[in-house]
Amino acid sequence: MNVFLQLIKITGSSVEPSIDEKKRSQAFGVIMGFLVFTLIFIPVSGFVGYMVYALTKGVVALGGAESAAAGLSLMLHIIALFSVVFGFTVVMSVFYFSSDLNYLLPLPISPMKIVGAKLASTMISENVMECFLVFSALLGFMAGYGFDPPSGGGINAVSIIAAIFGVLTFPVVPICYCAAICLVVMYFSKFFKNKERVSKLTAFSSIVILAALVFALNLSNGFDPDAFVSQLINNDIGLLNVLDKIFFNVSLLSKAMSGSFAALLLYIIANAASVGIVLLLASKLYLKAVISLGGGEGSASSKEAVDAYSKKIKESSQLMTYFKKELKILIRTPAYMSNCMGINLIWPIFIYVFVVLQKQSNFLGDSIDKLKAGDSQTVLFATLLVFGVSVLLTSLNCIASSAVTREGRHFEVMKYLPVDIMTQLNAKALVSIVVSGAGLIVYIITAFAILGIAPSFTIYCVLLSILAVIYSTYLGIYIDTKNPKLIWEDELNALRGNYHVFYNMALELIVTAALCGASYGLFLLGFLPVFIIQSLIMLLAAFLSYEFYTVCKKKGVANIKKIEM
Amino acid sequence: MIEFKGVSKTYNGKVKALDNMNFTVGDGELVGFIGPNGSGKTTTIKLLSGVLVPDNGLVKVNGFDVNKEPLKAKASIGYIADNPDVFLRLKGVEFLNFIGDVYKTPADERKKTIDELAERFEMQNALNSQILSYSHGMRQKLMVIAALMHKPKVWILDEPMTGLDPKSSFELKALMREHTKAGNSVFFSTHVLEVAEKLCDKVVIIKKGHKLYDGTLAELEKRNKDKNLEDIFLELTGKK
Repeated sequence: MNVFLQLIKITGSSVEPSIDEKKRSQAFGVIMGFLVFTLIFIPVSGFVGYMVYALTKGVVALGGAESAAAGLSLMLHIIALFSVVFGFTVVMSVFYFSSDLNYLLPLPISPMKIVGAKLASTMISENVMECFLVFSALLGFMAGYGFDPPSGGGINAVSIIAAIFGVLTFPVVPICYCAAICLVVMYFSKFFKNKERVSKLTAFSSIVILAALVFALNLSNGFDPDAFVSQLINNDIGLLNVLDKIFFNVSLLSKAMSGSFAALLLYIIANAASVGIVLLLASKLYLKAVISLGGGEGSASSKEAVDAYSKKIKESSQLMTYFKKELKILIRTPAYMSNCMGINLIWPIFIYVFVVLQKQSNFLGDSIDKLKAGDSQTVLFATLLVFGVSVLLTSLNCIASSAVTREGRHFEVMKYLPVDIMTQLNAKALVSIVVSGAGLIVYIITAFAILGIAPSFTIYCVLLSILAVIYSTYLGIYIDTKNPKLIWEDELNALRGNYHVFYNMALELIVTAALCGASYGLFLLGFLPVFIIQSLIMLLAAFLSYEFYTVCKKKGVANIKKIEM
Repeated sequence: MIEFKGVSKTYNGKVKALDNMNFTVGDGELVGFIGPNGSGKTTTIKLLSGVLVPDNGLVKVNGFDVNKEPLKAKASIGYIADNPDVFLRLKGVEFLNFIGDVYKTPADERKKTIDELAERFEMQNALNSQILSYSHGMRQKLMVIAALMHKPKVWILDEPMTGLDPKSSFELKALMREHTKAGNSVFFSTHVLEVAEKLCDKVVIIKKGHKLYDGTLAELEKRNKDKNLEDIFLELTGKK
């Protein structure tokens, strides 16, 4: 096999499941894959497609065929921006900090080939979700624009070819940006040669960019759809104009989607040129930067050193020491810090977006008034919302669903330590419960206090949230014990390599939907007062928590014992 | 005391890693475990430490059946795995503290052992740094300190000398001798025949999951007069 293709296979191997992992749970993977596809990928893609469809309809009606691609362009810019934000950490990890470099660098392979292979495997791993989103956006555009719109234009054969190219190649330019910047920065700056520093910086940047996007789209003054469409047509959104210059591929693809063959050709050439520039940079800059990486240790005198470590020698129980160990690893590992811990901090931004988006209809204000007045239906909806958000937040931070996977190649430590496996799983669960639960409790108490919600309902919601977190945590851990991905080259692969976070979310969505349906059904029947339904929800949450704790104790522990490395 | 009786182990129902393996390591014995790559050394050690479960046979450490009373058996073992790259984000002292808690070693006792062994292995200055910044040898030394902290009667060591500098290697060998002199047992795998020759009371030689020899080196050399250990090993394992 060609050396380059072999390299792609090797560098991508940490993303793929190993043969053992495939064998361990084939049927489970297929079922969960189906659930993830139908419950997460399709709804999210559907939302993106619908947004582009609605925006395209709007801009075509107001601005004619010339502005048709404005909505598509907006969505593609957002996708490209997020690709860059999340791509940085991935590219940095894969290019400079993955353990396969120890084996690849001594081999007589040119840096251009190594970077080329790593670039290809990064794009493949990043492409799965993005492919769905771009596909939906393009489909939404085609549906909104139509084949023969009254305003002229319409999609043609070029649009369809452009759509196919767009779906397959959209991540190329964003990832090439990440790669080029990483190559230059790592060559010239010592500051970025520390993995922790880079990851902390990218995590912080992600939050800043997200906040900037909210403000740049003028969401801070409320969301007026008509004014927004008019701004789109008149190119009146400052950030979009800047992004248009950075992500030149977006405007080329948008034009190609509107039927321009020249734009399609330029799009293909631009993608090829981006890859060419990265490879050229790699041949000049990669090797020197990658071989100069490495850590150092402090050089305190023996006396000071002994004093310093002596202070830290303290006794704890097995559960507490394991809990502290897990927490320290989560906090100190940049990929875990941003994906498992930091993600809990971005919720206020989403809540802010929601508050702004509903400003015109004042849906939230009306609902809060009804909640304060004790309106039964609103109280029930609020209860279900607390349950749903609690389970989803817990599953989204993937602390539980990567609990065993994070052990990686030192999984056997779990086996040889004289600590009961369930105690180890409980310590892992405790981390998830503390991190997710603490965040939720703070959010609920703060939000409810600001909104002036009754203390009794606040206490009820806090308790319900804690039970929901416990249930979601043990479900996540159980899923991870079924088939943990133990072979990975860097920590980010540990989180992304298996789809357990999606499996967990898919199951949570089913349970939440069933709970909402059943509760609302009971409410509509009208023979049970809402506080009885609330009590039943609380009992169900307690039952689910206990049930999945038991499942972990019996089946989860058995799963761990079965795994041999 | 280690008892390993009639133990077989197959991976994925296909690859037979060990076939009816028997040996014992008595109190006060220092036993070297020798064999070519892929002969089943690490599998044997993982079975002893409870990481793997045998298909059949009996694995006992200090009188505890590793599969029936795993926690008691594991608590009585000092185990060093073949890979010291464990919990790299913890500082050295945090790792030792974690192991101390896991093995329920009282704080004053663990401090005494850490002070003594950190000095012997020249690790005091490193204990406040993350393990990530350690060299392979330093990580190995940290694993040695961790494994010995709870004063286990039985030491099970998988290639313990790998990556150690000469002084640390000397210290570890001295510790192994001291431990067996006190009436305890040491079982370790090695590729270095000279280490086995100078250190061991007994050796167990295996190849492809079968035991080829179990006895003292003097007896082995007596049976193969005018041959050095390397030649004997190569002949036994069919490499010569």
